[in-house]
Amino acid sequence: MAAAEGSDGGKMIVLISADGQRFELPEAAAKLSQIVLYMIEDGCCYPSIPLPKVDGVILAKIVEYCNKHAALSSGADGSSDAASERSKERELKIFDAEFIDVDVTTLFDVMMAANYLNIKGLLDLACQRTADLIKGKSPEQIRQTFGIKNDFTPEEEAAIRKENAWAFDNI
Amino acid sequence: MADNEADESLAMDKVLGDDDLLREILLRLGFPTTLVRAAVVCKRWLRHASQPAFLRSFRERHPPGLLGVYVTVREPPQGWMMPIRPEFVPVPQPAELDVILSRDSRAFELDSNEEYSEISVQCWNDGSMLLYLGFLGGIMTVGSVRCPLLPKKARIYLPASPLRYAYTSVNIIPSNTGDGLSVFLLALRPNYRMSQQTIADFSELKDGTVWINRVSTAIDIPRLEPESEPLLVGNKVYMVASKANHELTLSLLDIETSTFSAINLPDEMEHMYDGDYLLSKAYDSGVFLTHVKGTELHVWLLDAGAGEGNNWLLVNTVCLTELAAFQTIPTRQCEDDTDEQHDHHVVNVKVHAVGLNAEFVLLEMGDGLYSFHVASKVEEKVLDLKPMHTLTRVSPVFVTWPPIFPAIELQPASDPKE
Repeated sequence: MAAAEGSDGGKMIVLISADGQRFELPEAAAKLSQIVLYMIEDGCCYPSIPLPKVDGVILAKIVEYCNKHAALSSGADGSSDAASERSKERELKIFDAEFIDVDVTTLFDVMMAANYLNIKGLLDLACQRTADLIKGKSPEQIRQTFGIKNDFTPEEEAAIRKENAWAFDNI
Repeated sequence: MADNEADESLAMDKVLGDDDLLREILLRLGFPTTLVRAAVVCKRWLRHASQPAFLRSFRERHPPGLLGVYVTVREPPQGWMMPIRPEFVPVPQPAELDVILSRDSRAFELDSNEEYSEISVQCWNDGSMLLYLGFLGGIMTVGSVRCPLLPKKARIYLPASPLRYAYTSVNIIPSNTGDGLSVFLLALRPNYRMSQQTIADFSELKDGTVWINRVSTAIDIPRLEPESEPLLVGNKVYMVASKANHELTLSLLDIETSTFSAINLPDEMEHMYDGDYLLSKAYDSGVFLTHVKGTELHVWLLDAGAGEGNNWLLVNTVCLTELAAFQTIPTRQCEDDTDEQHDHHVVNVKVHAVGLNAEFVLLEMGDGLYSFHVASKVEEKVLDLKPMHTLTRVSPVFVTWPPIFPAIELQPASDPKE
């Protein structure tokens, strides 16, 4: 319901990645990051905001996400009827699904950046994607996917499986 | 290539090594089966997955779903004395939960070698224990307990109930103390000296072999409502009884102090027909009353802490006319069931079962039995009911919750914080 006047004419914010790349984006998009929002409120966003923990490649992804979500957030283009709200929601869902369909390294880099920049929607999206990668896998397959070492003794692992046999295909 | 792998393992360490992020990921696994498999990955994951606070949040996010129901259906040619076996009707599951039902398709079937005159099934919510009992002549109860989800676990046979008196009702009450099996038995007999009184004998199963009488006390109710299965919550047995003037009351038997008390049911509740209400347990120590009033479903929570007076809180109201299933109920001027002499002013929506914490209700409406998830308003047909068939008993089976994690040394090797 925010009554922000046409985002096109709004203020622009400049973010600088760890490797010195410049990203210019509308203030409304930049504010999706809680950290950036505080910096804007505190007036320490000029001429630019350095983000030494985020790589350029990842920051480009983050900026893409923020731009899309800010552009499609409610009331951004003045219309607010239920049908257009629903179609925007659908568009965002499709965007999110394609956006997060990346390799595990990129996924985790995006998650770390979303965590650091405190972008709740994006953090949720990345955590859910990781959880979805775990679904339907056996413990061994999960370990392989994420490079985790099994530190249980065979007896310990058998004990957990025995108590919860209903969750496993065969035991 | 080597660089890529190094990058990969660095990103993994950063994310999965962060306790907060790992918890957020595990919290989104969605299904108890997936959570249990994740807990087997490594000690660190198990440590997070087994924390009580984590398990509480997980359950709130993903309430354990309905696996199926045991139903007892009476068909027209059967006389009322004919024994009827309950049948297990599975509910279609998402792929992640399908393993529970498919790993042993016969696990939920009842043994055919038990010759009980009537069989009923009761299911524990935690551990999904199954209890079935036979009423022999209505005064003696025999039965056994087993765990369909853990078929290798030994079955426990209950000893026959005490036969000292001519009981009017015998109820087995399971208890979820968390550690092992706890079974109680409540038997009621008339007090011949005081016509408006009943004597309650409360026994506990000791060592799985013998019933030990714990309390015998007179209670001020002429009779228990036949459809009200007693609930044991904390130290109190809750049961719905009818008073001398046929009004319903909630009776409490404190098994520690052997004292009896009564609580009024909510003023707004009008009991109109059999099956329009049901008591159920909350996750903590609360008691829910689910009641169909006209075309609304009311969920009341008993605030046991609030002394006398009205201590019922209306926590949920569902407008039944918004459910698709409600539209299958024939209208008042239905000609096809003329032998039904029921009052046609009421819509007979029956509450057959209520899940733990009143999250799920199983409702009989029109052409079948429907499961309804109160918070998400998702309804699903569980069973088709043919016109002349009567559903006499419904026992839901829910996905096991919480998982049981054995005590394993979980040294916080990789992360000193926490």
